[in-house]
Amino acid sequence: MKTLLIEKTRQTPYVDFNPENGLFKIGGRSIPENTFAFYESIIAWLDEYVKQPADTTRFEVHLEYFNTSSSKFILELFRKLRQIDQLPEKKLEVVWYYDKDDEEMMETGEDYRDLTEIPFDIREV
Amino acid sequence: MSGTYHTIKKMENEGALLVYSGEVNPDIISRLLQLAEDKLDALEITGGVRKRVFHILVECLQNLYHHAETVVVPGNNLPSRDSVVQLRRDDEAFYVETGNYLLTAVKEKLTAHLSKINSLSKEQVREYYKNIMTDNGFTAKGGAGLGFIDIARKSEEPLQYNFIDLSNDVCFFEFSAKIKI
Repeated sequence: MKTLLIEKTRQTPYVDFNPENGLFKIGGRSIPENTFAFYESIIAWLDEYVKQPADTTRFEVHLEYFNTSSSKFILELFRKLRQIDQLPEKKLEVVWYYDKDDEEMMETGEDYRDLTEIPFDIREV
Repeated sequence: MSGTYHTIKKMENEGALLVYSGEVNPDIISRLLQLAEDKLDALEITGGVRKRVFHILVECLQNLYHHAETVVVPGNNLPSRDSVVQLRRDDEAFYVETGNYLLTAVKEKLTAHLSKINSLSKEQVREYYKNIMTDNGFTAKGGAGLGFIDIARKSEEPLQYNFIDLSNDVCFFEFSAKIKI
């Protein structure tokens, strides 16, 4: 598989998912009006990746803003990645970064952790 | 002459930072968000207040884009999908305020939704958001059904709203969210 690379725009986040070393990063803003158009290709890529993931997949999330329709798709990304944790000898790590003043983003990380039951490392930056 | 001086004075008195009237589409949303950010930069508004204002503005604009109805307004002949949105401030808070035409048929459901949100505590709003987020699927209009819940969560103040009946079928929906400074 090739690395999934998407440049950030004013309305959509950067995406850098490297299937070789398992380091996945997403960050910036996710506020498009049509979230499906943006996330469908990412979810399709993950569907392939989870069939043969790297030994450790480390998902680093550092979102500044996201709209409510993105929030459903972000949950979907976590649900896809959770499949990795159920495979023998494969590991999933999630790091949720939030800016120092952004208590809501910290709470949102906690909410995703509760909903997905994935162990999240929630870190202030 | 319609008196543009009166208009600008009225806006100044109300603390308006940004006022837009017209159709809301993705291109307009992008431009209005940029203008709002420029205003917030100029006022040196940073941190949590800035994030909450921006976030609520995004949700309000996307609500207008997804939910404003094209209607023939009584007294006009041509159908219109125009909405109004404004960002204003006073000494105490910022306000994101919108207005759009709606079919009277949705009034009851929307009122129930907003009044339910207003009845919830901060922690209950957070739980409600999580419940709706885990419901699969999107509304018929392509929304996640989360917009007003999220606005309430970010605002931490009761949502203000009002319906003005224009005919049996059409009403005008006024909405205001407050973000304390």
